[in-house]
Amino acid sequence: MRLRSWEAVLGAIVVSMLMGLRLIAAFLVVDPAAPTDAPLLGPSRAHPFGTDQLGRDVFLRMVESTEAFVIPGLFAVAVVLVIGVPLGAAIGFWPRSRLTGAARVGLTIVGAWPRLVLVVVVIAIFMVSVSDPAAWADARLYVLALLVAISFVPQLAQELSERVLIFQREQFVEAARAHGLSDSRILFVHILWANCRELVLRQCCLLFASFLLVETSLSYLGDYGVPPPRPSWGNILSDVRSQVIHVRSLARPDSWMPGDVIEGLGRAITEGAALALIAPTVAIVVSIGGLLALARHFAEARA
Amino acid sequence: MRRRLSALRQLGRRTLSFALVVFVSSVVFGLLLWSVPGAAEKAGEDTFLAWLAGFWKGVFVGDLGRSYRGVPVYEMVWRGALRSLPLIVSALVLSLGTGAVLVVALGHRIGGMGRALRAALHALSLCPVFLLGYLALVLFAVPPEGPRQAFAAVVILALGDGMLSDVLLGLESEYRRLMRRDFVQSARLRGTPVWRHVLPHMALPVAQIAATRIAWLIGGVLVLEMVLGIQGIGLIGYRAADTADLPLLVAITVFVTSLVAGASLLVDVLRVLVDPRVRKDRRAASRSTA
Repeated sequence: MRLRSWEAVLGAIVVSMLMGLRLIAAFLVVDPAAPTDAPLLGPSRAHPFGTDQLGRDVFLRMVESTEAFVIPGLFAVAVVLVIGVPLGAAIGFWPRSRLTGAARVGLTIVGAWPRLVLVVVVIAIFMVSVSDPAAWADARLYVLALLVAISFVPQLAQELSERVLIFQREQFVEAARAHGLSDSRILFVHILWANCRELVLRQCCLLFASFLLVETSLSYLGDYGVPPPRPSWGNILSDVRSQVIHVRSLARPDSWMPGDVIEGLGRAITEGAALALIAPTVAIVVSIGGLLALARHFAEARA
Repeated sequence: MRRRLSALRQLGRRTLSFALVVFVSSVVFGLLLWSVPGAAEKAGEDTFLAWLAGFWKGVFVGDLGRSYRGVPVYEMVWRGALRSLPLIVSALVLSLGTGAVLVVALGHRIGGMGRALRAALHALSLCPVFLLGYLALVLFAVPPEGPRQAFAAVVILALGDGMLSDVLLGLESEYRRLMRRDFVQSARLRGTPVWRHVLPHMALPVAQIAATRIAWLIGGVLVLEMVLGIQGIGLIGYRAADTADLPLLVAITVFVTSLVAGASLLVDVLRVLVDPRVRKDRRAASRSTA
């Protein structure tokens, strides 16, 4: 990928940072429940983001949170590539076939289910149905990824099929046919690989962002996201909820002069747990922003 | 005469497809919940088909039985919907209104300030709904009741999860496409007010964007109601999911699905009403706005 636009640069930085953090997290051997120091310390050299109310290092928890979404997110992308791409391609390539017509009806039905509703209902059923929910804590994230991927298939398949339909009428396809190439070769090599790559990549970025969104949202709400004490950017935010009033009172400036405001913020960061609030917020916004920027880059790469 | 007939036929087909979507959704979610251990005994029916028949009869009669906590389901769904629907609709209106004003203003080149505002709104729109709700609680101490809470909820829904961003991008591309059309150019040259020609042409794309965003908004409402503690359909559904409450959850999913499918049905009705040609081209119908 050539880095021609600021979107591509930003996206590449964010994606490589997420992957890098995930790699670092793989080498960390930390018990997520065990305290590392006194609770509610301010930022220091030992704990760059301070500690939370249970004495756990916030920075380490931030890094470890990538375990909750990077690999499941890639799993969701793989699911969509395996289900959504062939489905969309087939619908576009054989628009009059009865089979693809049925597939289109199926996609309309799945497309009418709001993503979060589908995810919450099915995960809840999964949790009630398995005999030992704690043993399935790991699998839960993959179920989540699978559901987000399924809810994403109609969107991808729709866009892809429209595109394939346009290309299928092009002259080069006719020429390839006249040369005796098989349907599958024309579809996969000449249409999908040569002309729809960017579209699929764009949808993959959107899917990854939307998985991150769903994972952090559910982890924040509790119950269906990452099971505590394992960290997620969402549940770090919800853990700090009890400290919020304290942080607010610390941060309240004496006057609205810039100096006082900065002083108040500094007070909230050094004495309160403000960083445990700011860090996940920034991480979520930057990650989603980077992924969406990358998606835009792919959208404009072949406009 | 023939044209009108084809329009009617299209509408009939779309209505049928709407009914199919809602019905199949009730079957799928019903089966999923039926498979939960102990669901059949609590439902008091022997087979799934009997339960399904009872459910659909209940939808039309207005009695869906009681939830596992013993509250009448029909009443609960209605009460939740009366809380959530105004939020969804006003968030849509706010988001589309802001988007339209910005697009028109930026279309006429407002300059650096406008661009900065647009960039700021895009950045704010990146925040997930739960994060905006949380920050609103933290920074502005949103009360658990009353008009201030409703105001905050509408603003958050209109912004969060990329809502405003998507609406803005969708409207912008439609507006640009429209302004390049020949009839707009000729109206400009004749000196007649352009908006009179532009407005009817924007109706369909706007409706289309609104319809596609409704599914997102329902997800947003679910999260936001949990964060702010609004007793709407999302909160009821989330609580019901905890116990895999068969009657309540199926009722809610069917209601929500019919909202989403109903919105796209409405867009198609609007298309027949507004567009005299009644396009056969399905691509224009389902143009993606993302």
